[in-house]
Amino acid sequence: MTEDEFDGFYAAAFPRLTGQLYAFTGDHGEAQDVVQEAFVRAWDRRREFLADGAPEAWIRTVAMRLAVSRWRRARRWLELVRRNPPPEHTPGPGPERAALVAALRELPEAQRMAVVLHHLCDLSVEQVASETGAPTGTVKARLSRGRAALARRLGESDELGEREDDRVR
Amino acid sequence: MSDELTPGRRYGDEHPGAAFDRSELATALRELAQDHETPAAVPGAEIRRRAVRRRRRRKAALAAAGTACAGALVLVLAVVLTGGGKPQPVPPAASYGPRTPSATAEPSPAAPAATVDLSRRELVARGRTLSISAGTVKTPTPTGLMTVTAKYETAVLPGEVAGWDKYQVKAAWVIRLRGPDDRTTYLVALDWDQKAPGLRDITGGAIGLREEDAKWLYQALTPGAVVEVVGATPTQPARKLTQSPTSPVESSSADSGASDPGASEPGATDSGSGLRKGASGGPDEVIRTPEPASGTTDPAATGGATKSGAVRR
Repeated sequence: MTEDEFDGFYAAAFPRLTGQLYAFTGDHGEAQDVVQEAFVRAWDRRREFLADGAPEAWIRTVAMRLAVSRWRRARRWLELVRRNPPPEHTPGPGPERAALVAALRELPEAQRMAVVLHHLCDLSVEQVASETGAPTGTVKARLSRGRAALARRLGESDELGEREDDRVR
Repeated sequence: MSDELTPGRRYGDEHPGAAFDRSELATALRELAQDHETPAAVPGAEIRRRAVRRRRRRKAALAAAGTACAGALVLVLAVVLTGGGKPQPVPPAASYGPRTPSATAEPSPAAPAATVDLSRRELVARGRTLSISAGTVKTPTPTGLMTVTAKYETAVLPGEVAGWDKYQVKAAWVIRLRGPDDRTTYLVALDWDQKAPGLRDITGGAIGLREEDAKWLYQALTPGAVVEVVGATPTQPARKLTQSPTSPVESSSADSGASDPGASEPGATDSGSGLRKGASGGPDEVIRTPEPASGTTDPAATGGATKSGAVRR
């Protein structure tokens, strides 16, 4: 990958990835931050990055892992404590969207990642499993529980989640 | 597999409109993500520059760690080597004679307790000069700094060292010396030829003394003491004929060491007369500049060196 190709790929993929990472983290600045860091790492480890064959997926994986990293979160929290947090950039979210974001943020991390990867990034259950290092059964359970919890939080009936849960098992 | 996970269809039938089905969730998520798409705040070139800088920093850190490790290794090695080298000489010094200077790996700084001059057939110790009879020209006494390793009032020496062809020889007042390269020689009382010391060299490498001298020396030297052997077996005209055909190679190799000071001024030797060349740096000069006259100068050089008696110092 030449420098120009990388720059083109970066310009094209960065917005998409920040959107996905926003759905995962629920924090705009954080999403931009981890995606940018993932791109820096991609150029730093070009060989590994290109050998993977799916550059965008590579970036997303790295960015998600960065977002999960507790060490990183602790550092970011320190930064936020030390100085005023930057104003949240919100491009006019509707009320239902704000609710979705809030509901996502309340999900456990594993469920949130499964939901985002499967429903937003269009990864199959097997792909999500290989990405997160969990068995497919676990991924299915996380998906269904995540969906159930989302449905519950978004004002849907509990019934749906429960039954879905039973089916998947 | 994924069919099972399409509750949208199944539940959609059961709860039309009420279900938060997967397609609805996917759409909601997509819209959410799309709303939050942000163009890259930093150009790609900046990203690459950061990556390069990070790699450089990592390399520098690695190199620093590497040099630190190497430094630590060198330090440890130095400690181990010097620490390991010291205990070896200490036990003999402590057990036999506390007065002997601490002979570490290098015995050279220690002042020799006795000096043997093979050319003059003399041994000087504590102000006394004793006559000796050393190795013959064919079986020369090794030279250099020797260390007394053991003493025996009587001992059986190998015949070839004592100068007897095959048999072992029982000798009195034997002082064993170990020199560089682990060569071993002895200071012995020359029972079998009391007239040889000072006159002839008759041994196979051992340094023979008259009996009373040997006894006195036996009491004077303690293990760990340093004995310096210098000079070369004086060659007599009759023996020189037997030596010269056998050892031109040896003498020339020894000669190059002896003639180093002369060869260290290449300007002088190159521009100097042929006489200078022939006298000082025979083999060196021949190798560097093959001259037609070299064939004639070479034997003269080796002959001169043998005559001067500087074989190995």
